[in-house]
Formats: sequence, structure tokens, C-alpha cells
Amino acid sequence: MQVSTESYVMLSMVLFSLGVMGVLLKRNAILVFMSVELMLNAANLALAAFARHWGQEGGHLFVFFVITVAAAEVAVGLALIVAIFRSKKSINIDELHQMEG
Amino acid sequence: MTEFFWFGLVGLIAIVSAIFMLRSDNAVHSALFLIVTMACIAFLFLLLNAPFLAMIQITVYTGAIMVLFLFVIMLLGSERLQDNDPAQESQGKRRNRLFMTTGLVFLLLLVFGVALTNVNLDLATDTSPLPQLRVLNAAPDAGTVDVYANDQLVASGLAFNTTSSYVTLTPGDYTLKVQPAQGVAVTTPISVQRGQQETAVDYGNNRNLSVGLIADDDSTVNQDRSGRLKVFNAYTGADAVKLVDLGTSLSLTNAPVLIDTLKLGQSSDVIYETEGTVNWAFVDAANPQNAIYRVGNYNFQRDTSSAFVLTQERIQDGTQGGSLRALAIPLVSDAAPAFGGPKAIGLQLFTNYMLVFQLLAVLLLASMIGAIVLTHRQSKSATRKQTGRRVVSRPLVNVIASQVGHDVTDEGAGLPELEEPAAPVGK
Repeated sequence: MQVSTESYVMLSMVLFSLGVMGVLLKRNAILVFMSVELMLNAANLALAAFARHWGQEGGHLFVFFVITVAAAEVAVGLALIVAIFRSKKSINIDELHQMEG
Repeated sequence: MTEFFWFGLVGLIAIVSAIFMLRSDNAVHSALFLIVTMACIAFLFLLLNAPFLAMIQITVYTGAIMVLFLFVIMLLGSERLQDNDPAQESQGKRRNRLFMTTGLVFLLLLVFGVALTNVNLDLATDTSPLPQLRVLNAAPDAGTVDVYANDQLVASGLAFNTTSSYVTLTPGDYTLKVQPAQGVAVTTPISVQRGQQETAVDYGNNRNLSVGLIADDDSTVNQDRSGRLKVFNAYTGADAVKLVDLGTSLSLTNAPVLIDTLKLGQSSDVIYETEGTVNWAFVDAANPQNAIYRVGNYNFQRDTSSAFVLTQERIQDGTQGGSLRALAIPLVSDAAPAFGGPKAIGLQLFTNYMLVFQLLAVLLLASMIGAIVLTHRQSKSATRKQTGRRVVSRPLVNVIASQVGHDVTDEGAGLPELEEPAAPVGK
């Protein structure tokens, strides 16, 4: 008897919500980024669970793609953080409002 | 039960360390807790039959991405960055924000929960592929045959010992009709379902043709280094046959039986055999010392589905019309790679998802260039700063020259006459 797909999706749901809380509550841009990674991981878990449920590999492929996109996103995002930190000496997201209209 | 235990334990660790990640004041600790969460998710991937994803999760996420995070945190020295500055934000505003975020997250959980309880996760619609049918002509005297399923042509002009390609059918009942070029047609009712692949074998002679079905199985071979084997008996020379393993001694005495008594027109159960060079023999079930056909030095490959069709061929040996001799026709197809393994993922990646794969490669390249460009501007200004610093650390003569107002390297030339210091007054 294997663990049901619903259990995996519930776990994924809880992790995703924790990630959302991190994004909304944290001020440190790096911690916001890490929370986004947590959300992506939660989504990956749900995708893998559904792939097993339907017995098809599409879900695994999409997890693979999500991991790739996350790697690209982290590379650019952290480069941005480093650049912003050098010019503003801060990565508090409340102080970053250059693009304010 | 153990799977439930591990799921509960690892899931709990994942949630708890995610909470610690959010609660921690030190960014390095947060990153380390996130690594624990990701390792737990990798373990859950293993439980979900996704070993490839588990390895990718460990190497890419915890190995590369999190090291990048830790590197940037330590580079910026932002471990102790205060998350909430009390000078900037009043206590009431802070409480307000926490309240709204918690409300939003509960709303999110509610939406997920409603969706999860109402969604139908039963396998209601069968999405497995449509049934396929092919034909093997194993009747030595029937000449070429045409095969129809109802009125749909499955194979035409099929010669002896050839197999047609697969024809896709809609699921349902069919009347399979085999029409030899000369002779009496034979019909047999068949029923095909989704996910099935069948091979119809016609055997006998043109006056007395019969049709049998072999179910082709392209599912995973679950035993390591083995292949799937089954036998279809279309040999009319004996009541029943056996398949025995001759081993290296090539002796029929005490040879272990692989497939026992198989009557004419029957398909055997599936057995799993280890890969390698094999010596098998088909023997008469009534007389086990009578070898009908030897499968000598046959290279049996792993991760394949093999079906041997034992039939006859007509050979010209000088007698009137020739005589019949046994012949085993192997039908070998690849078995599906193990679910979630690297082979299965690679197969999908290079066939159905090739375009997405290419686009992602371009995206990765673009992000790499983007990261370089973003940090390159910074390094230019750093170079400018360095040249500024070099002005300060130029040789001492230059410093003196800038202070006196002209070049001091030329000895004597243009130096201001220094007055003789006045003699100290008195002693």
C-alpha cells in the first residue's frame, strides 16, 4: 500500500504556503529568493506525485524543466542582488524603489 | 506501512525546517534549513519512483543553487541583516502586515483544500494508447496473405516469415480475416482494448489455416539484467512442445525445462531470462529426447520482450514438393525503460520534449550572459576606483612635484633657490 497522491499534494500545499508567507513577510531579498525556491520545490513535489498517479513521465519532465528554470532564475536574481547591494549598500526590499512610478 | 512511516517522518522534517528557515534571524542558518527541506524533498522523490529527479534535486538544488545562495550571503555579509527595522516600521503596521499575510495564506490553503477534496483523482478516463495489431505469416504453404480487421486492411501481400507493421485500431470487437492468395480464408473474432499490442499469427496450410494471438508486452522489465520471453506454438508436427535449456553441455538429458507442455495454437506464460548467449531447444513433449528445433548461440538481450513462434518452413530437399522443417521465428521488441529512471527521462527528453529542451538551453545561456553583464558593469567601476587609488600611491617625487608646482626629477634645473637658514642667534 503506497502513500496516496492526496497526502503528497497536501504536504506540497503546506510547503508552498510557507513559501508564500516567506515571500510576503521577509524583507531580506535573499530570503525572499529562498522562499521562492521553496515554492518551486513544493510545486515539483506535486508534479512528481501526479506523474506517479497517472503513470506518465510528463510530470517528471516538467520537474526537470522547473529545476532548470530555477537555476537560471537564481543566477540572474543573485547577480541583480549583488549589483543592487553594491550601489545601495542594502538588500532590504523596502528600500528598493528606483522603478517606482 | 514503512512507506507511510518514512513519508510522515520526512514530510514533517521538511515542514519543520521550512518553518525554521522563515523564523531564523541569520540568513546562513536559513539557507542551511532550506538545504534540509530540499534533501527531504529529494527523499520523497525516491518514494515517488523518481530516482533521476532525486539525484537532480540533490546535485542541482542542494549542490549548486544553495551553494550559490550561501556564497552570495557571505559575499555581501548580510547574515545579520535585520529583517524588520523598527525605526522604519511601526509596531501596528508590522502587525497589520502579518495579519494580512496569514489571512492570505489561509485563503490559499482553503482554495487548495477545496480543489483537492473536489478533484477526481480516480483513474476515470483511460489515457493509455490505442490498441495496435500486426500480423506474422507463419503458414509455409499459404503463400502471401491479406489480413483484414472487419473491413480495415491490416496487412496485404504478407509473405511467409514476415511481420507487418503495427496498425492502430479503435478499441472494440473485430472479426479478423486472413485471406491467402490461393486457398480458403479463415476468420476469427478478436477483442482489443486500450494499451494492448497484439500480434496475430496465421499458421497451418492454405487448406487449413488457423490464427492465434500473441499479446505483445512493452512494459518495464522489472528484473535487472533480464528480458521477457514467451513462446507461441504453431508447429503442427507434434501434439505439444517444450522449451528446454541445453546449457553449455548442449545435452538434452536432464536439461532444465523453461516452458512446459505447450499445445498447438497456444501462447505460453511470460518467463524472465538472464541476458547472454543461450542454447535452447524445442522438444516434443511426448518424447523429450526428440529435439524439434535448436536455438543455438542465440544472443538474448536484456530489457527486451522476445516472443518465439515455433512453426515450419518448407525446404527443397529433392523429394516431391519438398518437406517441412521446424523453424522458430523470434519477435524481439524493446521493453519500456523503468519508470522515472534516467533512460525513460532521456527518451522523453529527446523525442516529445526536444523543442522545450532546446528553448531551456537557450534560456540558460541567456541567463548566464545576463548574470555576467550585471556584474561586469560593477567590475568596470571598480577598475576606475583602482586607477584613482594608484594616483595616491605614485612615487614620492611626483607627490613633491605636485606640491612644489613643477617637475623635481631634473636635478638643479629650475629649483627654487632655498635661502640659507639664518644662523641661530646667540649660543
